[in-house]
Amino acid sequence: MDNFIIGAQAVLNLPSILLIVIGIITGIIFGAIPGLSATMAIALFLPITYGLSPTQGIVLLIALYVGGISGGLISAILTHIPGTPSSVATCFDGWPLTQKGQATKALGVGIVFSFIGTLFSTIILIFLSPILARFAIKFGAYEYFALGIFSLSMIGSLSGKSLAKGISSALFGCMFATVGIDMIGAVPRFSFGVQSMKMGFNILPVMIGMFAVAEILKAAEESRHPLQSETIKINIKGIKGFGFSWAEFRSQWSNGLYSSLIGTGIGILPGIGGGIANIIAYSAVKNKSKYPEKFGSGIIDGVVATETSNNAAIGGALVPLLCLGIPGDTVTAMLLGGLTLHGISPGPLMFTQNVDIVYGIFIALLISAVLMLLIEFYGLRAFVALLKLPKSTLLPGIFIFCVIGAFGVNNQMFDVWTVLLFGGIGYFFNKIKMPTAPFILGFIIGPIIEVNLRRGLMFSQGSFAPFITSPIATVFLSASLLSLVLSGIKNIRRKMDKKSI
Amino acid sequence: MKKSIWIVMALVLMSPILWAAGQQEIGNEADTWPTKPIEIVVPFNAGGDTDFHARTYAKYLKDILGQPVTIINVAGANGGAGSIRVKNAKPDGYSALFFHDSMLMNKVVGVTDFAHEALDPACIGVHDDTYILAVNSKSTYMSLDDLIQDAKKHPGDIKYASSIGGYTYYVGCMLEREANVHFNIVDAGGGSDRNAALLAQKIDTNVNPYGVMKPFIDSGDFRVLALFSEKRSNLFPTIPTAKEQGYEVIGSRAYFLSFPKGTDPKIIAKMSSAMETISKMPEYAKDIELAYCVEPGFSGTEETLKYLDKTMASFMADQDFILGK
Repeated sequence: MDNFIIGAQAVLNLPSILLIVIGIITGIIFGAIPGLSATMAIALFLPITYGLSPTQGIVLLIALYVGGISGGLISAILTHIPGTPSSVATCFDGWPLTQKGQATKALGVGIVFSFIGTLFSTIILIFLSPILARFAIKFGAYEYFALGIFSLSMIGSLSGKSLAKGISSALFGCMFATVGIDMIGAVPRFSFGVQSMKMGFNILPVMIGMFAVAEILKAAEESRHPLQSETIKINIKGIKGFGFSWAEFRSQWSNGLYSSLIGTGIGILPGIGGGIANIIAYSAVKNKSKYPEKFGSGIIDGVVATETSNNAAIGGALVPLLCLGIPGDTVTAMLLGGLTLHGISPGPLMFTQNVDIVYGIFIALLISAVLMLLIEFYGLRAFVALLKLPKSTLLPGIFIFCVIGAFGVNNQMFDVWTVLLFGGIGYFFNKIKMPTAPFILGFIIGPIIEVNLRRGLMFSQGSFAPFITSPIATVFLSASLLSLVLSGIKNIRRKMDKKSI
Repeated sequence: MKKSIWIVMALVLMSPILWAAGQQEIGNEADTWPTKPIEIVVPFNAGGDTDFHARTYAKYLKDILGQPVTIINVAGANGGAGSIRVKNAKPDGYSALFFHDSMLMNKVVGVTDFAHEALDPACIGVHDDTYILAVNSKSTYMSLDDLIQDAKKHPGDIKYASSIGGYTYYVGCMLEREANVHFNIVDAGGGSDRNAALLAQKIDTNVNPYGVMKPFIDSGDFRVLALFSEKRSNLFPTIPTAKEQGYEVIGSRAYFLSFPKGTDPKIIAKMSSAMETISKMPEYAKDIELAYCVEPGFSGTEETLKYLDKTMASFMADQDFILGK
């Protein structure tokens, strides 16, 4: 308890609170605009924190992180374009809800469950982090390989009608991820002698292209058919609070808890990265559901799964960061940089030597969660009003931000070309009804599988045996096998049912 | 109403272009340099060691040069992307590259087709001479010799972690050659990943700069067996060098600043002397000690060129070694 008082003393003062408010608002804006992301908000603000005290600096970055991850839901739900990679799966059910005129409800659910996800993972972080960190380091090459395979086995539930198209999409994702300098031997692959191709494709421009640019192209095409009305009905009048009922909230309680656990768990494992927590949680909740066929048609279960899990990944990602100094993704790597710059090295002694920082972070997370809830609640009606803008104004604006955002990733034109290339690929995928989510999953998980397979074989000097004998790896590999068999059986049954009808 | 918002937004977005265009017209005479902000490219993401050293210099350069120095992070291709950008930039003294020995290693392993010779190096801002070899404190190795003797008994069994083509890989190869042993060199990711792997005893040894492993040394989880430097560090004097223990392996990483080829030597001299002044400031020394346990170490232009040529020659001589052939 004393520690909390120390943390509170460090954070509960006017400048720090002000920084949290600025961080949350900026984060939400960066998260909400496709093209700009939480990562970029933190990269922009990192140099500013050098002039602040260590606690103030980290508090600002934490607020940006929480706001940025949550803000992505706004554009995902309202425009079918995810604001950040963490909201890719939010589009699946958020957009159909908007089309049904229930945008306010979708946003309300997303906001409340973002809050719950952040809160859940913060509590885990506060009470269990040293134990969980010791567990996380048990994951080596064999275990990450198995976990990667397990994640890929989720494709089935992301594939829509055709499993074959889903698998091909994921394989394309894996393939495109191999372009560039390979991560083990530093060999340039598929660069065709072009220097900038050696950098490979960065996930952010790829995602902006696949989802934002492809969506804009589609809208541009549809605008030539005036029959397809583009205005969406929205009912704001008569909607109270967050736009959903207590009964609906109660019905989502177990989904929320389940997704919180998945999000926190993925966050804790630094080798996976929090960005795909939303996709995996969506698939898991869908598989567990009694009515999986309704997913994608606009039910709040889907929004609950993604928005709880992506925010839960924040608290999870801070576990290895604070206890072991290991960043799981670019965002946490920059947080680590923000701390190192002030001469603070996260590690086993962090919880005893830097009590003010650690507990300051905890309190900042809690305050950020509450502020995020309040700010988004009051902004909810304003966000929905965005839909009144004609698409011909809104989408070109978004397109500009996509290009700026892509350039901002590394200050390079190559990333802008990447956006355009993958915009074309995404558009083509939509045309042939190939799902894009498996592509992103393959793009992220493919390299994890490859690198850990190769690392594992270096460790075992060429033997495959440890991939099967490691207990954790065995669990994940059997789970993937089981999931494949089950989805196969489901598929056959569905076909039989169709025939009998 | 709505239209005016979009017009304002468009103007705001265009303003950097106008600003940049206006800046172009000012002359680039070396005598008055700098008359506008200087851009230093760090070829890695914000938050790492290279970024830190560049930003620490940038912080003090502003007061000495009278112009802001902005850091631009251009990550990709292990530093290759940022190097290319500066190589192709105008040699007007307003863009420079802050990089380290990996620039040379990139050429050796084929990531890029050029190294420092394609640019005009100005000076080495800091030398990191703190490469250490650590083991888990639960291990039985109490000295470097224990490790080597065990490696002799069990050739190819001791897991030495590093990424192929990385600097620690080279250190490992030098140690293998010096001690006439054979390790199992495995890839276990970057600095912080390797800390986790050593903590979980998935690897047997870990070589990195002291600052990267400091939290685990302080907590007693890691035991340091050797420092790969000519002499002991003043910041952690209890740690013996590999050389004292009879294995002459020296590792170091020099962070240097270079301008595009053809930059006026006057500009290079001015920048170099500004950085030399900073390297002697006590507050600068405190910054780098706190963050990375490094002591200041500056080298002027001539010395820098000598260092880089010498390093390149030794890398090239060991090319087969480095490529794992």
